[in-house]
Order: sequence, then structure tokens, then C-alpha cells
Amino acid sequence: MKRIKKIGFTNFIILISSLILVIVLIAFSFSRNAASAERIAHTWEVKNTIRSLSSSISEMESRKLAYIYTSQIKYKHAFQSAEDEYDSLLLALHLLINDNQSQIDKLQHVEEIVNTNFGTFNESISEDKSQIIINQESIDEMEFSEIIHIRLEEMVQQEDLLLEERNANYESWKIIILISLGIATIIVFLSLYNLINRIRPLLEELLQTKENLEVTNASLKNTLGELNLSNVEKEREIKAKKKAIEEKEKLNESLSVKNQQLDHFAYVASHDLQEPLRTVSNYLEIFQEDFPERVEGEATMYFQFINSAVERMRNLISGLLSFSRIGTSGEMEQIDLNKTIEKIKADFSAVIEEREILIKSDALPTVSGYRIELKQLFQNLIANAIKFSKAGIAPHIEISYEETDNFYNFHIKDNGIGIPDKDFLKIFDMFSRLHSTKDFEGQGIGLAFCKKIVELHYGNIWVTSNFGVGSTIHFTIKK
Amino acid sequence: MKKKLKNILLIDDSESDNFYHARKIKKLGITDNIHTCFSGAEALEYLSSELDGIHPQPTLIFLDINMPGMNGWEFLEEYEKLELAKQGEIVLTMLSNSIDERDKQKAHEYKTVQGFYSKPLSEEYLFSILEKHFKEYM
Repeated sequence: MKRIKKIGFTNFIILISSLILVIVLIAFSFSRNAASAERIAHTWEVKNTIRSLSSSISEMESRKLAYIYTSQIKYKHAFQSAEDEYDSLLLALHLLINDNQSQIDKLQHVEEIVNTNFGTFNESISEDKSQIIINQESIDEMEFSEIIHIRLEEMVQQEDLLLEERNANYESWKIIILISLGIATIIVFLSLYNLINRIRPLLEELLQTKENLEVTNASLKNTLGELNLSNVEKEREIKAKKKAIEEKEKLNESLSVKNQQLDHFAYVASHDLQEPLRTVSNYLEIFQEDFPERVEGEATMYFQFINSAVERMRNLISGLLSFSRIGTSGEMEQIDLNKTIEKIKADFSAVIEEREILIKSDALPTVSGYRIELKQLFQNLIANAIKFSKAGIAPHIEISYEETDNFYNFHIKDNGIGIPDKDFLKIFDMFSRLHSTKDFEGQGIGLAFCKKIVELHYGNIWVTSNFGVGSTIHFTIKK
Repeated sequence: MKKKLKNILLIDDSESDNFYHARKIKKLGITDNIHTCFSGAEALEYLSSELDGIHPQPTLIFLDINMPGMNGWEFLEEYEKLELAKQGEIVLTMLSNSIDERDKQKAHEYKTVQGFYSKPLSEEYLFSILEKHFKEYM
């Protein structure tokens, strides 16, 4: 836009000034022309008047002579009217040539001669006794006419010269005007050409831009089409995803149904396993009561093994049974974990006092969860921390937590025996034990319980540990 | 000399359990009369039976839940419909393998049920029953 303005402005100025020049030249030439034509016409008029004056003088002369020779009064009147005409012509001529001194001088000379010539005649007319004078002067008559005519002719010639000069002047002005007009026209055309030349790249640029725009438009349309296509694809993808989600939900549903079935199976299985086991243990008891004499020596040892196996099996089965019951104790509710910890501490108060156990705990949040299960979770973890402590060292347990957008992250840190890296995952399996019953008692269900409880609260559980230094159990609970 | 309970009814499909429970009760010497039924139907029949115009009316009943045919719950439904003369004198206690809280809850819904206990029957539990319901027999 700036460029267009710049180019346009200078060219516009050039164009306008040349146009103004042309108009001025034309106006000037018109005025010049008119002036010249007027002067030429003036010269012609002067010439004509001179000729008329000359003829009026000739008439006066002829009337005078006629009067002298005939003395008829009519000639005298004719002379007088010719004289009147002469006077008026003379006056007109004076007016016409008052700008030309040499012509005025010449006319005055003619006037003097005429006055001299006709002056005496006029006097004689009025006195009526002019015979002699007339005669004397008649010789001069011829001379006078000659002189007058010569003078007048001179005047005419001068006017002719003037006319010629003025004609030449007029012509030269014409030429100058024509040349100026030509130059102005050339300037106008040049500036127009220049303007066009300057505008052309702009126009070309504009055209180019237009083409480019069209190309861009076309590509935009293409892109739009592609976008539409990809939109369609996206929609298809979204549909597929929705379908996948639906399927996933269905799977989840069927999975949770299966889980329930599995829980039910575990419940029924463990429940029904208990019965024959109980019978075995019941009748072991009766046998030992009824036949004490038979239970002696090695038999006592056998009975001990059987009894402890039955006891272990009972524990395993009841563990399995409780495991299958996790999450069925009630509804989710708001639970102040600080109170939960207090209860656990109270439950453990004897062992805490005995072993000088230190349990440090952050101000814990109130979470939504299953009351019994959450207590069991913390209880199991604290019990583990106590159980797997180093001999002769008072257990230190730290419970801390932090909050994320969707979860509470808890950490239970101890100074116990620690867990080797390779067992980090294994410890959460059902019935999985790292130590023999001789060293640490247990059925290997505590952490499996914890895992199930955490998963019940849509969280995760894992362990980090420095073997020989201590472990930290981390778990999350969904808000 | 302490009084003895008139009679105790054991309802359980398991012969070994019935034998074991009867033995425990006998050992404690709180009754001389223990009757065992192996199903709910049999028990109902027994309760309706007459001997010299008198129904058995056991003083204490131990009822198992899991039984083939008529289970413990079904038995309870029928039992509560019986005329008072046919019902047990006082206490009906569930005795079950179940440790399920829901079973416990359900048991409390029956007004005739006075207790819920997991097998096997122990001396402690028998004593606690006596203490609660039969003080004069101790």
C-alpha cells in the first residue's frame, strides 16, 4: 500500500503539472492568437482608412478643380461634403494610429499639406475672388496630388510592413505553442507511461497474489477436505474406543462377577474344608482322651505332628476364608485413620510396652473406605514391622503420607530385617513366606490381605527396602 | 446337688459332629437326655411327636446351618410356625461352621435364636450358655 501511494503520488504530481502546463499553454496561445489576429485586423483597418482618406482627398481635389473651372455652386457643395468625409476619416485614422508615432508624423505631414492646399481654396470660396490664385496654384495641383499619394502610399507601405511583421509574429507564436503543446503531450504520455510501468509490477504482483490466494484457497479446501476425512476417521476411532471401553466395562463386570464367584468359591471351599478337618482334630482329641495308654513313646511325637499340621491347616483355611470375605463386612464410610492407629496401638499396648516399640505417625487424613478392612491393613503392616524386627533392637515405625490429586500415598517405614530386592513382589502373594516357621511364625497371608484391601480401595501396594536396614511399605488409597 | 437339663436336642447332618458334641455335653454332666436328629425334617417330626400326650420340648437345641434337604434356616422358618407346646422350652442356639458375619446377622433376625457359635462346641461355650440361661442348673 505504501509503495502504491509513493509511486502514485509522484506520478500524479507529474501528470497533473503537465496537464496544467498544457492548459496554460493552450490558454496562452489562444490569447496570443486572438491578440495577433486583432492587430492584423487593426492594420487592415488602418490601410483601408488610408485608402479611403486618399480617395476622399482625390475627390476634394477634383471637386475643387471642378468648382474653379465651372464655378458652379454644386461643386462647391460637393467639395464641402467631401471635406466633411475627409475630416471624419482623418479623425478615425488618428484614433487608429495613435500608438504609432512615425505614422502619426506622416499623417500630420499629409494633413499640413492638405491644409495648405485647400486652405486658400476655402478662403476663396468664402470671398469669391480666387481666379488668380487658382491659376497660380493649379500648377502646384499636380505636385500636391503626387505628394499626398506618395505620403499615403508610404503610410500604407509601413502598415504593410507592420502587417508582415505581425503575421510573422503570429506564425512564430503558433509554432512556439505547437511545440509547447507537443512537449506537454509528450510529458503527459511519458508520465502516463511511467505510471503504467510502475503500476504494472504492482498489478502483476496483485495478479500473482490473487493466483497465490487461489492456490492457497484450493489447498485450504484440500486441507479442509482432509480434515473432514480425518474427522470422520477420528469419529470412527472414537466409536471404536467407545466400543472398546464398553467391552472393557463388560469385561470388568464379568471379571468382578468372576471375582465374586472366586470369592464365593474360596468361601465355600474353605468352609467345607473346615468340616472334615474339624472332625479329624475332634477325634484326635477323643482318641487321646479315651486311649491315653496308646499314646506313648513315638506315638506321642506322631500325634504332635498330626496336631500341629491340623492346626496349621485350620489357620490356612480360616485365613483363606477371611481373605474371601474381605470387602463384605459393610459399606464404605468416612474413617479417621488417626483413630484407627490409636485403636491398633491400644490392641498392641502390651507388646509395645514390653519391647519399647516406637510408633511415630503423621496427622493422618480421614478417608473413605471399609472400616474393618482398613484397620486390618494398618494392623497387619504394623504387626509385620514388629514381627520382622531385628533381635535386640527396639522397633521404630514411622507412618507418613502425602496427598496427590486422586490418591493418598501412605508409607510405613520400619528398622527391621529388610527384604531382598528379588522378593519385593513375592511377599504380596497368598501363602508366600520368606522365612521358615522356626524363625518367624505365620501363614503367609498378611501381606496378601493387605494387597487385597488396598485393591479394594482402588490403590496400589509395593515395598522398598534396604536389606538388613529396614523396609518401607507404600500404598495408595483413592480419594 | 445341681439340677440337670431335662433334654438337649442336637440337629446336625454330621454323625461325627453329633457324636462329638453329645460326648462333650455328657462329659459336663448337665443332662442325661440327649437326642440327635440328622436333618431339619427329622427334628420337626421329633418335636411334633408325643409320648404320653407330651411333646419332647427340649430345654436346649443346637442347630447346624448347612444341612442337605432342609437347612438350618428353613428349619427355623418351620419351627417358628409350631405351636408353643411343640417348641423347645427355651433356647435355640445355632451351631455352625460358618464364620460369616452375614450368617450371624441373619440368625439375630429370628427371635427364637438365642446364640450363634462356631463349631466345635467347647466347654467354655456350654458354661456360658448355662450362666446366661440356666443359672439354677449350675
